[in-house]
Amino acid sequence: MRGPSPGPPPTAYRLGTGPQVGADLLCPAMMLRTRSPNRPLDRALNILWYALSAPQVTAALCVLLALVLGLAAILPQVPGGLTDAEADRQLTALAARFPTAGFSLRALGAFDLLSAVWMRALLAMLALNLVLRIAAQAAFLYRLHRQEGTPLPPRRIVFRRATLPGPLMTITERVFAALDPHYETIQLTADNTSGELFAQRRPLAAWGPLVAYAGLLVLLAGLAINDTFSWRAREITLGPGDTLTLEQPAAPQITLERITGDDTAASSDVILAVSGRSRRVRPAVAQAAAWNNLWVSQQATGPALAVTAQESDGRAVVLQSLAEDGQVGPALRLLFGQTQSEQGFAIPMRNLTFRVVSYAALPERGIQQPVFLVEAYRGEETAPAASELIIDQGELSIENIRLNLRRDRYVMLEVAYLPGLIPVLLGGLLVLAGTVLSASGGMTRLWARFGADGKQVLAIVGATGPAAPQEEIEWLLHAVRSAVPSTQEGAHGT
Amino acid sequence: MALSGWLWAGSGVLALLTGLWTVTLRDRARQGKLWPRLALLVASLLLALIGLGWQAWESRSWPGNTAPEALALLAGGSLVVAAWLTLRAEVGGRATGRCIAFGPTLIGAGILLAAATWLALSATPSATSVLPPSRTWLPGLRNLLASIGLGGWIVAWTASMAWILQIWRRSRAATVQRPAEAPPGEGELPDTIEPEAALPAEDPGRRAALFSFPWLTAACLCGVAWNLIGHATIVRAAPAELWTLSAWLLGAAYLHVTSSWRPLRLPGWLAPVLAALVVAAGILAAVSATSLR
Repeated sequence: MRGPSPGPPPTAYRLGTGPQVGADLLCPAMMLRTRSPNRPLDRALNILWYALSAPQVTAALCVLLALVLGLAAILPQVPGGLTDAEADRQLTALAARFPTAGFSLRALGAFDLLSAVWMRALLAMLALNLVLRIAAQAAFLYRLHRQEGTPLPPRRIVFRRATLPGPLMTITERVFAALDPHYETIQLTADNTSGELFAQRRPLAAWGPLVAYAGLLVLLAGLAINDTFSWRAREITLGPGDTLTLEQPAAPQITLERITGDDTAASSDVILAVSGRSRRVRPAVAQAAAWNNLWVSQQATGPALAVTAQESDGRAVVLQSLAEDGQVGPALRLLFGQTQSEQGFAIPMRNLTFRVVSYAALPERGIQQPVFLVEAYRGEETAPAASELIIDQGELSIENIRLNLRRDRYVMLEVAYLPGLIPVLLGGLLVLAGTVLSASGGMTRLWARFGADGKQVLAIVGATGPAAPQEEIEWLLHAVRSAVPSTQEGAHGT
Repeated sequence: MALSGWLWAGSGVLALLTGLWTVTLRDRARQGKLWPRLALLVASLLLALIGLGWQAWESRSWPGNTAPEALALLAGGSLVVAAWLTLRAEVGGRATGRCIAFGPTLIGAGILLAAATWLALSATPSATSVLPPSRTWLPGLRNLLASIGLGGWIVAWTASMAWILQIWRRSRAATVQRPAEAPPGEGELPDTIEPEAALPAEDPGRRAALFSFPWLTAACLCGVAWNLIGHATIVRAAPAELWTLSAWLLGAAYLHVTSSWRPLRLPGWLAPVLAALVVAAGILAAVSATSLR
């Protein structure tokens, strides 16, 4: 553990704005700056370049995007992949929940923030900023690996001034000895009156920001591809053997082969067919299945009752579901969701209504497994004219009509086409690699200039690093001081 | 959830007392050795983890699916990062000084654990019911990574705040003590840079932020993978996920603002404010953890 420094506390100043004390020690190279171009157009372009590529702009855009996401977390949002009519219905319902500001919020896109126009504008600005920052980082890395001699310290880094007890040559030797085990590059030149130091370690870590920026850019490109070309089909309800062709461009034909497992751990065998190619996938509860960029997730499964009806002469009878969708046809599949235990259907031509109740079991009737109770009602009568219990399959006859009833299952699927997924994942991994590279082994650089001042040495030291580079200076000064014999420390005084 | 609640209560009390001990006795000699306080921190962390493990076993799901669990995870993450930074700063061959965030972070963790206890003990049965078994380990990994990725920002924020308060206090004291007419003598420094002579010139919260940010990035990626596998989508509009992404963006802004590679002309209070916003987003993500089910 380190103790307090024996000498006076080091003072600090910023290059170009600090005091003149010790300024004569500054390496001429440290004072050298590139001149601004003379032509107004060049100057304007320079200003524009620096303004758009500034890290302040990156930070500001990140904050704005974070605020948008925060708003999206607070305000209710419409889910993606809805039809225009459904989206409009949901937006109207959401706006009605905010009597005073609902209309304005809807107009601003507050209920669909993740795909609002100004969200896209913010992301586009971030992409532009990232392109310019990548260019700036690439230029920095080029200079890092190609430039010979001592590189310039960045503007506005803090330099510390310290007095070190001992002759200059001894101090520089101790500096070298302290740095040597930790730094890969050490450039140290000294004579009897002055010395200069540049040291650098882990230059590979300087690639971290570039990799992270590039990753974020690739990720944004993936999101843009998704935004433009992706689609999502919701609430696709299929029973075993059913086939459906989606309306979206290049959408697959979906066939449900079978459903296995009970409803808490059900999985479905689904065949996807596109352009003459097909693939069997198996989505399950909370486990989507993928084929190229097509993702199929299983939203729900449940019991269903398949119903067909014939006249006594064998002609099919038209049935009508009493559910919201009002399905009409010679065959019906009545679906029972997790919270639904009752459904109904009708034969309008005969003024017959049927009530179907799903029971997990009917122990009073000696049935210990799921069962449907089907009751038939004539006209306005309240007492059922006929009823039947259906465990697997059965028949119910009324008014010369025979109903065939069969226990069935259904699955509700969601299909998404995500063409930008690979860039999103690749970009995410690059961002992770960049942040790990920057954080775990950040590049550290030290600049120092020494001047002999009688029996002591006046030093100014500056550093850049991933975190707390001033601690690096403190460590170096302490290492040099603690190596000097105590008699010299005592002679140093204040 | 009762047993977990009481375990978190014990953990919170330990963290709070250790934090108050450290903050109240600012003088290092009076604080005594580091090890007793570190041992209390480890004991607090273990109690929090046992509570999480018990709760996970009871609900048969990965920890972090409810607000109390997520808050306890957040507190646990902050304790892990505080312990790591303290060991790094105060022990070892290249020890660099003191971790000024140790005490305040423990107080923050204690408050979070108290909140977790209160929520756990007042939860309705529906909130603690057994969840359907998860088919993937991604939620567990995501919650674990997020606990360190977000919890570490409590350390970053407290370090940043402590630093800015120290600067403010010292510059105020210097203004009061300095004779108004006294001109700076030869070799003296101007008043404007006086605080920098005694304090590190950069935000000490940056080290914790740099440590936490990759964990937070990995948590976001795990969230994407979980969304894909569970819901066939990249980003869900679930509040917990949106707050986590928001925290990531604010963290990125903080790291840009505090970079030492090209120090920016920005006010000193900006970094603590950004770190505070990250912490707020992290707490909101934890409170809305149920939305990720």
